[in-house]
Amino acid sequence: MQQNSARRHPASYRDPGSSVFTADGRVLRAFTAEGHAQHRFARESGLLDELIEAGLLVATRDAPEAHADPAFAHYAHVVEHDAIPFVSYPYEWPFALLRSAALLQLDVHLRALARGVTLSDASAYNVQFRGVSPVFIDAGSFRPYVEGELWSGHRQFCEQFLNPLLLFADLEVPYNAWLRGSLEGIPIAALAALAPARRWLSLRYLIHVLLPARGERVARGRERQANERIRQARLPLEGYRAMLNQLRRWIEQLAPKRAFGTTWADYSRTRTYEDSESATKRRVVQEFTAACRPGTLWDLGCNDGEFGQAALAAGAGRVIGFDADAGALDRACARAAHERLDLLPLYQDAADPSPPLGWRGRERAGLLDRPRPDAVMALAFEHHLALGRNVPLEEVVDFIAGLAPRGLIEFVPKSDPTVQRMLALKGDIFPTYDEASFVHCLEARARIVRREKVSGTGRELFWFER
Amino acid sequence: MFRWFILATLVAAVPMPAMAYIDPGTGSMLLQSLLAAVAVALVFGRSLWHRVKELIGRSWKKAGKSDS
Repeated sequence: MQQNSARRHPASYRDPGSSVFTADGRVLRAFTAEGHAQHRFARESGLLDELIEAGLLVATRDAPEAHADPAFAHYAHVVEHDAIPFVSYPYEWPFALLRSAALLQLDVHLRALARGVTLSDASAYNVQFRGVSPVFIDAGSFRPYVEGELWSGHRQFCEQFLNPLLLFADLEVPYNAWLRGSLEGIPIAALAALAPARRWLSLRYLIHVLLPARGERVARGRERQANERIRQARLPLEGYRAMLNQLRRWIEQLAPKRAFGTTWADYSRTRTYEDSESATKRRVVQEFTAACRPGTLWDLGCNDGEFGQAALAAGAGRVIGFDADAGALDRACARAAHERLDLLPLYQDAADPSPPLGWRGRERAGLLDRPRPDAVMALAFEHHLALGRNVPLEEVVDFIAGLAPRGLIEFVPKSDPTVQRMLALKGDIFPTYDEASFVHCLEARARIVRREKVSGTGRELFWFER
Repeated sequence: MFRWFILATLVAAVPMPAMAYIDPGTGSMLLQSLLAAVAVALVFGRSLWHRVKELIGRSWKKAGKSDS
């Protein structure tokens, strides 16, 4: 029996045809009469079943009993979706995930067109991840395809998917900060301004970046003629599909210019040996995980996902990894894909975690407002905050230990060569950074269950419980 | 060839749906109207080109009949 009345999700307001609601942990979508007609068309075409079966669209089923809720009084139809275990946003996705989300968007659209259905929009926020597998969540976006119509989502696709990918792959500029600051995406005019002159020789740059940017400029002040021309334009289905396929081929082979390093195959082959430090850490991680069996584990400073993988093997349900190094994240994504792990590596700067964003500051949840994990681990991590970013040690410990009721934190002492390198230029301005202070800060927050040295340089793992 | 003409005219006669609830962007729409025009011309041009190749092929065969 429902306790609380369903409430509309703060991010679901743009679509006049349907809105997403949450009620007691369930995710419901309510359609207006018109929205329901479009949804029914998509369903009867067989498209929804095809997509759900292929794992491309989030599971959807009719929820007639939920319709009794007064929140749905003015809606014609209610369905329920499976919930996504951890919500993440495009500005948190590493390159491999943004690319895979873009390809999913195009694949869904192509399959839809094959059944006489099209998509109303092309927002990157219509995609979510389970591990590193993308899934389309906007079941309200489908509507009947009208022969000759233009692709109205093209601009949005370019600004939210193509442009950030090009920014990084082609121009070697990271997109995460830009996407976080500009939720609607990277404007076509901006990318056109940044593209080197040489790109005018690239047909696909012309079609998707340069000509639309020029068209926008030219049309300013001549809106009436532009709108008239647009109104009369007809794009044959073959042309529509050609645009989608062209983008698909382009994006599929996009890769950052400066190689991330070795490919996954080479990397895993050359890493067959394991030094004793890794082995010890892995053992402690697995003992911790086997004892606690966390449903969700956050791995701060996940690097290439090595210890996240170890935790999954020992019984963690899923791991969300966070790191600020694009190369490490790329390797973590490759690892998760290759080994089929429920590991979601995300870009995050721990000293500046994703804040709440969007309309009324509630559309896109801040990292610290999302459901907290059952356990947290911070291996080779705390010194980046305490020494690298000058965050007071007690605040670092308080932050990490406050994220979950139990976890593992690795303390890296000043004697460690990595720290020596970090302090070489900055100087040792941290008189109170030592193991005794660390223990003192941790004990103020939690009970230390176990501690174990993991390296000859003095690194030590602390297992805490609040 | 004539088929494409008819198709293009018929397609032009269909009324278009109201714009989606997002802003499609004038630049992108103009670009697509350009593509559509180019596409029709290309398709028309391609069938013309095939016709030409066919004719050339036939006259080559006639000339080289003694070689087969």
